[in-house]
Amino acid sequence: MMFLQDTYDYFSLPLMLLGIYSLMAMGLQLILGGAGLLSLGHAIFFCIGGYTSAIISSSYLPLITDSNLLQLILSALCAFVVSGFFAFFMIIPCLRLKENYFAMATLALGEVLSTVIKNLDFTGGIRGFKDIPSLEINPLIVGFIVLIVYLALRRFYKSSMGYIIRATRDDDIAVQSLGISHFKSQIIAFTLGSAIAGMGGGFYAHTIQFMSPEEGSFNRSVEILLAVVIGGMNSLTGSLIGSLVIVAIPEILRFGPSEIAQNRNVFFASAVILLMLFRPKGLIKNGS
Amino acid sequence: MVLNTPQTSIFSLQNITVQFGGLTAIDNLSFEIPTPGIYGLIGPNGAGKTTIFNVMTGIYTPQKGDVVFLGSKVTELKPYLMARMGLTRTFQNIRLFESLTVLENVFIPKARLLSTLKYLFFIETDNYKKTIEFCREILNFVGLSHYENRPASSLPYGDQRKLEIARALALEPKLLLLDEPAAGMNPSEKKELGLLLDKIILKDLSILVIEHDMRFMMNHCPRITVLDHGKIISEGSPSHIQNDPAVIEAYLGKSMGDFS
Repeated sequence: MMFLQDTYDYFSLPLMLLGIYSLMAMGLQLILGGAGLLSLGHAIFFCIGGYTSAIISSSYLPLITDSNLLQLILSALCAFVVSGFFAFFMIIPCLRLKENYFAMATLALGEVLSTVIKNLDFTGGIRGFKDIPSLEINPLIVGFIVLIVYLALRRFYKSSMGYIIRATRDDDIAVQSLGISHFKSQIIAFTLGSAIAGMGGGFYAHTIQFMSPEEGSFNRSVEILLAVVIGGMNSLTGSLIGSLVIVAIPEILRFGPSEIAQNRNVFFASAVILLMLFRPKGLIKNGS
Repeated sequence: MVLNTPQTSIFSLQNITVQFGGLTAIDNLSFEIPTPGIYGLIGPNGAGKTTIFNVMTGIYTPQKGDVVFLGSKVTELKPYLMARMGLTRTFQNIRLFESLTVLENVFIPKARLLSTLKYLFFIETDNYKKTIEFCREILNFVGLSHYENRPASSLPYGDQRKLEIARALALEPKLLLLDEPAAGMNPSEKKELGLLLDKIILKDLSILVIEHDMRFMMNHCPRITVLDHGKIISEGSPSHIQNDPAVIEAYLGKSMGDFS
């Protein structure tokens, strides 16, 4: 029994990280694959969600309820709403730009917001936010949420707005000639995708019990972008598989011979390059 | 609301001027679609035909003049609001939603009217079924039913044109603008397109066609407007147009005199 317990303890952290990365990747898949917008500041909404969760669960939530599960769900919902709120107001000026210029604007947005967080008092500034309650978060809860979000997004893609978002990606001039405001659908996709990332951030805060402004860095945005692209941009299932690759490969390489284990970033990067060479459209090519 | 034109007029441009920098693309032009029917717009390259389309659909706002659609002034309305009023178009270079299937392409114009939230929570899915049924009827009407589930990009060229028309029809427009619908088509595809236009016109809507294929225009448009250098140089029935010296001059140039 000791062995089983140890195994569970070892795997629970990577499993939760996998779930959290999957949430972020699904959010980005909606923005990138669904709406065709390249967001390079995706991690900042993850970070905002994390801080939201951290702040309310360490001060306000214990006053409302004693149940850990309920607190966890409430904090995730708050993270969802607050990061969606930020995304909504950030995307509107960015949408005045197109394609690469839009991507640059989201990159700048991420850096600016991360600097703002560094300089605020209630976020803990550069030292980060410590002692976030874990609320007994476990892989089962995270996995359940991932499943719900996955099924909801699948259904969303089949709804009228899902189709409109994909049509806007294919041709934003043609949708206007059919009575559809392309801004509206792009705003909805970006806000929803970022809010899902924010929810992931909420779970992350309870998993690691520490948030720092570095969590919203460009590095993490690229990592998630990698997960979505590896899995296949046009597939929601692909972003789950992409997250698995991103989380599992470095973890597996840890067990290799010491030469590999110490240089696992190099091996991981080479693996990604090979993958992109042989499957440029991602592991899963088609699907919604 | 400006009601300069009688209520019966479907669409009119009143003294429109469009300039790009120093270049005057459209010069004090007035044009009217008084009653339902097929109207043609022809002219040599650079005459301003596509600019007129862009003014009509709200992509360009003219420097001077008014655009009146179904009795209301719509000069500064955004393109998607024009479309909601019942004015839509097809494009010179086909613009389909390539990753969607044929049926989904036709579904898009109607999707705006369906509730996403109610669908997400399984509250109201009947409307979806009804809309899909409506889209199938339209595909049937243009003769693309057998392609229903194929990606739009996999269709043959002529059928892509038809699909674009079907998608526009799904909006149930009052005025449909076709930008060179026969371009790049072979004779049999052109014939089919002509038959389709004759069928569409039986529905309650008007069509304005830009086209370079003169035979196609002469056969299908009872009333043709000829444009050159941003001005209307002739207007009337095909036979009138064909014999108008101004039109011949615009297309072939001026006679240099008798060389005999």
